[in-house]
Amino acid sequence: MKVLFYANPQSMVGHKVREIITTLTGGREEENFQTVADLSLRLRQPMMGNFIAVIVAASREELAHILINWHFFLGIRIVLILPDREEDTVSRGHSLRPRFMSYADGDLNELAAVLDKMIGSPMDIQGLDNSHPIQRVTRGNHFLQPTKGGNNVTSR
Amino acid sequence: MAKVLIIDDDELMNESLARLVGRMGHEVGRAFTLTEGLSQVYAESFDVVFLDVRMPDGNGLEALPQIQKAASAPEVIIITAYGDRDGAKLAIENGAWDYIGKPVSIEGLTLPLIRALQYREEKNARKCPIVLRRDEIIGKSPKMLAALERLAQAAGSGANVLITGDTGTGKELFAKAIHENSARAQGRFVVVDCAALPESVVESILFGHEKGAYTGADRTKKGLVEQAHGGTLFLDEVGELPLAIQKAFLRVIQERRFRPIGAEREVTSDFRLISATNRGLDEMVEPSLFRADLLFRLRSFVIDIPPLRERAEDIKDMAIHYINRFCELYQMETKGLSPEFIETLTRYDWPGNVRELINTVEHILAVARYEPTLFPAHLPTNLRIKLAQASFTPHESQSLAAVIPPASLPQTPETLSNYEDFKALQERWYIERLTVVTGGNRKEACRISGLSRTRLFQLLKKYDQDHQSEE
Repeated sequence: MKVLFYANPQSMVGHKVREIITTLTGGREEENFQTVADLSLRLRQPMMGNFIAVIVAASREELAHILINWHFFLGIRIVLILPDREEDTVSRGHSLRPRFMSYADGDLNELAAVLDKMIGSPMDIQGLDNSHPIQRVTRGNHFLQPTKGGNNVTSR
Repeated sequence: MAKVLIIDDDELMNESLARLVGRMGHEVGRAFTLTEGLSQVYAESFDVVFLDVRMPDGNGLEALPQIQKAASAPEVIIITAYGDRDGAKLAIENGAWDYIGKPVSIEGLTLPLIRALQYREEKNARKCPIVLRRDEIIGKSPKMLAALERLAQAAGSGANVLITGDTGTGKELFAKAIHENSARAQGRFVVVDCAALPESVVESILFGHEKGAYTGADRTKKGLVEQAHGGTLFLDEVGELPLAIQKAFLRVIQERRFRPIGAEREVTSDFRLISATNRGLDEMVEPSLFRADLLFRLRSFVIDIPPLRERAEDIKDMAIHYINRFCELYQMETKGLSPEFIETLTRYDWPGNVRELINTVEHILAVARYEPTLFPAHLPTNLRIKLAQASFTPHESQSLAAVIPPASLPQTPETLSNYEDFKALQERWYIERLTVVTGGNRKEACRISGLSRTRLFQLLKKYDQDHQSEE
């Protein structure tokens, strides 16, 4: 599974999401874009293989620009991080038919768990709060238990 | 006046039924073998077919799907002297209108016929006024039209819909089309990818949580079920939903109410539910992998999307659509398509369905970016290899082995076969492929092969391929 990642370089959450992706893919199957124009240009090139597009929209304006390009995402699964939780923003987000949607102030552990399953590799994310009940952190064959709510830990 | 076909080898029964149908004012066709019946069904348009089960040349129940594939898609009433529960189940599951045991009274035959014709008339009347927004759903084959008719019916109702079909058949497109053609079109279409959600987060994602519900829940979050209020909730790959969530979700479907994690009060959400799966949910019930009560609720209305191999006649239109779409996307000149290119696409069985076709088109355009016309050589190598291999069934391989010596053997008079044998084998191969590729459409077969109708008929008959449709 290859990942197309878009985030404005000024976006703090974008940096964190990119770190998650790089950990999952080892940086090998990852293409990064910092402007919607560059992403749009890439989407107009042939896509060989399966892709996930992870989009961090830093503002509503940026989300609007991405929506203009929605028809280029033919056959690509989208994971979308919205700038806020306003009803209108959420509605616009759903119009992209994302396979998963989160928020700039959302739970990155949840996002990491979903991306882990979608990309299909074990993960070890630095700097994330390991106390979340959903956190599943693997390092080789060693499973690190979360500090709280451990009854929800899953492993493969 | 309707048109009714009777396929029954019992001459007395066939004759009596023909008289009865004639007295009711309908036109009657009669056949005494399955082969004869199938050829009539494909050559003419019938509203109802009376079909006997035990026929001299085969089992009527096994021919049922072929009859339904005919352009007129007649209603089929099974009549049999050897009725049993399993046969009745099989017949009804395969879409037979009724299953009647012999001996049977006149009333016993008349009433099902009247009802079947009434149903058909109403069904045909419903077809006209519905104009669907179908966007990327391409195809006008009988199977696709039947699925689209179901889509239109689903859009007009508020029932829970279960969309089934192999991977890549376009279940999400169907779900979206139902939403966009429904009264909720102005609402949200909320996708839940059940296969992408780890078990530990499904509950939180679906139902949301209150601030402080668990460590890390530092703010209140609305779940997807609540976000779908006023719109449609689409559960993709619903077979992947964990059992614990299935139980919780059952209640949500029944009451449209749920409690977010850590919340004191329940939340109401008025959503329309569409689910999709490529798994046999019925088979998952027995080993307790899927709840029977949830399955019952999900499939108030079922739409089964046919795989691409069962609607080969749509492949050409789809290929043209996606080639044009990608050419526009990549800002290329549109491509010309050689007849051999289309023919090759049509021969392939597309195990990955529409998704595979789209990926293939993308590959082709990458390879042939500067080529004005597409040929089979532009297709991915793995696809061409599969096609080449598929053209040799084990039986044929043996036959060919008998007539074509392996290249490693010396080409001697002993190893080389008789020319007429070789030619006949190749001819059979060609006619069989031609029938498959055209779906039995003889006009199309004449066009592709360049054969005259008379010659084509002779060859179809010679190689037992003369039971397909006329047009």
